[in-house]
Amino acid sequence: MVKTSCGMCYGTCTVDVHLEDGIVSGIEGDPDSPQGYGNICAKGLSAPMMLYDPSRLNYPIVRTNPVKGIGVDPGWKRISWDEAMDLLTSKLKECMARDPRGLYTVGSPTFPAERAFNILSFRKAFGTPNYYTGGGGLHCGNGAHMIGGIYHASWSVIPDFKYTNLAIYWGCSKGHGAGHAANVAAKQAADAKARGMRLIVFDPFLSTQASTAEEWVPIKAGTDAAAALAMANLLVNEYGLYDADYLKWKTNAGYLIGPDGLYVRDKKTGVPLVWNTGTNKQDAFNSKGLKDMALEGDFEVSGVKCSPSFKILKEHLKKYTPQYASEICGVPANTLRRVAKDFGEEAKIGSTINIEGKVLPYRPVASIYFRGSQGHYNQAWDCMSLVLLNHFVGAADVPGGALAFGPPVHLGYPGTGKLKYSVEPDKDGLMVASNWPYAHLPYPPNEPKDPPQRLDLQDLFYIPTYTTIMAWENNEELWQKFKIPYRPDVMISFATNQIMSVGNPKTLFENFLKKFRFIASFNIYSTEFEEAAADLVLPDASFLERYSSATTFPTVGVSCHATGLGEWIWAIRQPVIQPMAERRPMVDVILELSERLGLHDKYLEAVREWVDRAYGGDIDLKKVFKPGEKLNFERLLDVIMKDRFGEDKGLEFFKEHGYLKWDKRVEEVYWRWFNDVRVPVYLEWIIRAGRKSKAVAEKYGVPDLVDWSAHTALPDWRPCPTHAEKDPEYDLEGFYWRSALHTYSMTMQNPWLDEVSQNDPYTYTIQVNAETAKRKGVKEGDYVWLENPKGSKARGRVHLTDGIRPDHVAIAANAGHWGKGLPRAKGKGVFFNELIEIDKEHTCPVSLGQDICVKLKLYKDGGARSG
Amino acid sequence: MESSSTSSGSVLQFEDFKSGPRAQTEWGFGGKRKWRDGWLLMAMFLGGIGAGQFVVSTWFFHSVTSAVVGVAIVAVGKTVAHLLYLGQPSRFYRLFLKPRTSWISRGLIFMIVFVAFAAAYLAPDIGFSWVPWTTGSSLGQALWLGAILSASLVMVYDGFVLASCKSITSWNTALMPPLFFTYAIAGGVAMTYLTVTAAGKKILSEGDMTTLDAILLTTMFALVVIYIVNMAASTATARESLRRLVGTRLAVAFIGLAIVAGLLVPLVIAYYRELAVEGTVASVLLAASCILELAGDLSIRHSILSAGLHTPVFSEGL
Amino acid sequence: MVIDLKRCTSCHSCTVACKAEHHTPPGVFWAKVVRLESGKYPTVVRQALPLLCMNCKEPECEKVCPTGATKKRPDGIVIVDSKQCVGCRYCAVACPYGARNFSSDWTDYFTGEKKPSSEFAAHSKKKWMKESDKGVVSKCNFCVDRVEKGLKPACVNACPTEARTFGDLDDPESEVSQLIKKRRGMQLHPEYGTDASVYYLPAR
Repeated sequence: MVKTSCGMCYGTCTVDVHLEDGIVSGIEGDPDSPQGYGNICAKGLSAPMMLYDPSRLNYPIVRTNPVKGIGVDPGWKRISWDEAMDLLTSKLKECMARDPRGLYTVGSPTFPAERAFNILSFRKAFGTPNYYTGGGGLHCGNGAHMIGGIYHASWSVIPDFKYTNLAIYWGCSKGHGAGHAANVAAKQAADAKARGMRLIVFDPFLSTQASTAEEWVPIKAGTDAAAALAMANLLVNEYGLYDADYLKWKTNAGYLIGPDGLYVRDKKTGVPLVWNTGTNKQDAFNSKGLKDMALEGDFEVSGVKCSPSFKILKEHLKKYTPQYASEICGVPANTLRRVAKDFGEEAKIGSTINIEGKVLPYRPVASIYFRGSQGHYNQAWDCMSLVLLNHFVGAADVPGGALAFGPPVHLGYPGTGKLKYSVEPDKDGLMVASNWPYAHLPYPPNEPKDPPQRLDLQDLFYIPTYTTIMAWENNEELWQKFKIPYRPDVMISFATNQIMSVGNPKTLFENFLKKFRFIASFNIYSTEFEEAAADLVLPDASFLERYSSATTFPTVGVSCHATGLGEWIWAIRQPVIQPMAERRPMVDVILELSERLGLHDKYLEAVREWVDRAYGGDIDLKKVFKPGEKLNFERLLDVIMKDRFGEDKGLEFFKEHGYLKWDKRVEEVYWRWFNDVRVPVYLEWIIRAGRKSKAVAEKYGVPDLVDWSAHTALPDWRPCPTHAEKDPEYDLEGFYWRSALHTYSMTMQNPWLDEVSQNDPYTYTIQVNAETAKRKGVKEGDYVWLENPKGSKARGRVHLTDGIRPDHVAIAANAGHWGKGLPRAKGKGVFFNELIEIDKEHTCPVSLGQDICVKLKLYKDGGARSG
Repeated sequence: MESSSTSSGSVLQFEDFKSGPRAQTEWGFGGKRKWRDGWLLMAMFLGGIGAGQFVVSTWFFHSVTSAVVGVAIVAVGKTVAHLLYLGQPSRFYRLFLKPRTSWISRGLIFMIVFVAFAAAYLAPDIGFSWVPWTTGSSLGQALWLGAILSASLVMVYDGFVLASCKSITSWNTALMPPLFFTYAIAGGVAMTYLTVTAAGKKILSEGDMTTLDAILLTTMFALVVIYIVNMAASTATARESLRRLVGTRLAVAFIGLAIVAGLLVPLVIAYYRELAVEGTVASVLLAASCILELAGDLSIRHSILSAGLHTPVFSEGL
Repeated sequence: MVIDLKRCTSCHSCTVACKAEHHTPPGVFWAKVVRLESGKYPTVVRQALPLLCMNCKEPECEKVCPTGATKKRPDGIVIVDSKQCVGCRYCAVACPYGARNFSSDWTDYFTGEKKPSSEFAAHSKKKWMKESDKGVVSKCNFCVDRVEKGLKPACVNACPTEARTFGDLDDPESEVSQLIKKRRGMQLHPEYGTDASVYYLPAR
């Protein structure tokens, strides 16, 4: 038996893997581990079927067909590892000589996510700023992460399952067994429901959690912000249900705003001012003597007329009457009123709770969003509007409220005090996260690069993730205008299937992938991406055949700790069997590449920087590694872990025990009131940051790169392109949802999961409202086409249900494969991504995330009935 | 092959995963093993008509040849069909082990008993003159009685097998045994006529036979009508069975073959013949009618098996 | 066994846990989840119903089995002796719960062939042939081998929401008995007189 971490999704549950005669014979959860509580899901259980899949890549292959393209036969030819490494090294050397920035690294958010630091370090050592995440368009959340980062110093938010009494889910299904902390959240959510937590789910369809909820509110896709802002309006303007103390001391609600929309600052110190109601004059927000401040009223400071930001926000919200919102979102005004009142009252504003001797505000309500509510044109403001509800009632990182996912605050491993980080205020008093996986922090905003360096122009903006600009049709024109001297050159893809996971595959291929001279890919299968675009494919080891340094800690894009009080865990992944055939863990290959390219020192330096930031604390790897000592992953792990946890807790310890756990402290879980940080209910800094980005864009002759008017301080609902679709033929709004049976696009190849999916009525089908289907003459099981206004089509089988709005259709999972390398997955389910566009019109102007809803027409397939 | 539905591209939900009524996929054509599962239908069909043929041949028409054929159909046809159907044919003997509770054990014991009695009864007429009885002797008559009784049980037990399935509403009815019994007798009549005719002999009393046939056909028609009405007035699952019988491809077998070709046309022929036709034309018509009846017999059994739907596991609603 | 419908999210963990434990071949599901839906938009109720063999106290399958291959153990678990089963499938037709599976032969999950495609498939085949046989009917046996070792059945062990509780129904003090009493646990199709040993706790 080997104790390791499951790798079938980024939930990374601790598992005991059993072997019989050297064969992985079974997997079960480790009952003592807080990562999974001993439970395991269908995906994890079916891991052996992925390990022993005869379609797995077992040796390096190279493309012989010079033509690339979707559906083209690459003519794979087997080569040796030596040949493969020589080829890749020479291509990378050429790239380095031309311009190292021409290297693009693309990772996946799942299977290898915990190995990200090796890729990041390699990228840094090589000298390229360019990367994105496969699935970043469709699955990941620019808006969600940006807002999570600003308001919770975290990747996402989740209810405090132990204490929340009323949770509102917006386009998310936390606790249904997939996504962040999949299994852990499933058990916690079930416990919460058993305890009596009520759940209200706003979603266009009856999602898994909606079907177990007290109430399902069928809402039109992409309109959550309108509903939430109407509820916010009711809370502050009609019901008076808001937490004034929280707003005063934990947000910038009291900061005075001048006519220019910016903070009124102290002339000398530059500190934002508030109105001190004790002295009845202005005061620094962090002034020692400040006892109370105004949230409303009009004031004058040094001749400048100003008001607290809360007053401006309150006024701004007035236009979101329940009636107005109802017309947008299709939810009756009375429902919005009832839910808002329920939320405000259930928040029990002013109440406290004593936990382990510490008296804390008790706010047992949580407004929770994720993928569904954020996949829209207005995603940054959508998420802000949804999270604002929590901050109005003070239900943020306090018992019962919306909690940060992952650990924004950790006071250190008790044995060593290391692995320590926390949130801190900047000079404006706003919260700065210290633990963040991406290029820069969500706050404070990055200074725009002039000119931008990255091909996706991410560094022109202040967003903490990435953009899809590199795949826009006018990318070449933009690169020329911004005087970017290099072009896509070499790509290394780390276990992604970009053809299926980013957006319209033809757009991505034609505008972007085609421009690379050489594409190398690490993967366990030859997927549609490899077949269409890769020149060299290297057979990766799957999670049962390799090491990982840390699967749960910290939030390296793997937000998987259980929420609320309990235990922290540092877990590793270790090989249960040696890599089969000629498979090699890609980390080992990256280390060898680094040596071959002469990047030894630079790589170590990059690792040091990353470990410092993400694992907390410093460690001078160059001193640890002897001169001339080859890079070795196991050694690196040993060094990092001994440094964090002490000499006796190196790799050997972890190989034996699989993980190390220790108790969470109240100050870590409910950190909000223990740290003097504020969050902005008025996003003043976006005005300033937006202006800076706009100035750079204007300077290079691209004034309308995005709609800069959205770079404002106040939340608004903005329509998606689909909401403006006038052609009545396109009468259905299509959207995507995540099945608990699958992790993105890879698991349809797993025959156990595939067989169950076929037998589940929702996973491989297009869900259509029964009445709508009747109107269109479509029956259960019929094959239909869905077509968007640009003529992109997807075919699938219909499942009739009453659990979906009549004007919507739902498609699960990232399915519908056609690649030869995935024979089992071929033809299973529906390929939704074909329908979504990668262009400016479908890009959030603030977070640069992708809009993934689409207007569709549905018609019966006249063709053969065979799959 | 079972895996064909899963390994090919087409997406099919197994019956057991369905939330509504679930079709039984074990017995009859279109079961899990497609054609091979049809052998069970054949076994039921052959058992019915074989036993029926013996009864009709010996009781009404005194045709030894036909009676022998009937016994052979049961002894060889039914047995072979069963063996072809079984997943583990080499363990067939185990089928007889639980007559206390299982209708299959009972039915197969009836079959053995029937074949034994029938063979013994017919023995003196088929060359085994050394046996110490003749068909006409009282011992022979006792054997005959035993054979008739056990034949009736063979004819009727299929009905009990189906009726014992509590969750299949369209089977779980007292109509099943009489329906199967009547069909077996009618099949016996048809087989007897065809056998005798094929042997180049003339049936002694075509008129009697037609009358018997007409009575049987009328009874069967009445039973089928009652069966349909019964289903229509029963549970949602039974109504769904009925919908499949009359509203899907199964209607070709049920309405087309079983009711129109197997019942109505022979009925018309029977009355038409009584009224007008004489001689060879009548014989040809009668032969055609017999073939249609047999097709109808097979079809109705097929239809009933295929329309066998289990009540949803959670039928009380939510 | 008691299954709490309030906790179940239809993740199919049980379905696959069973597959992983017993290596059932394609098309054979000892455990599964059926999705039910009722009502009209927007007042619609959807429920996941995890199914397995009910291990009835009055098992129909045992009654109709002509061979004696299906047996009820003294502890209440209903088992199939695959060496005695002839594959007549009367039990599969008579079972009101669709719990019984006939499999004509072992086939490989990837190729559909009788030849295993990998060492794991070969291992799987070996396990399955030990557990069952070709041409016979099989079904959930409450993981009798695990239970005898003092372990929980595989589906109970895996369930991410811990919706399943396994225990002794005859002991009124056991957790399962208490749950049934407190939460008004119900059997499926009690009218058939099967007296199922699997109880469901209502979701609403």
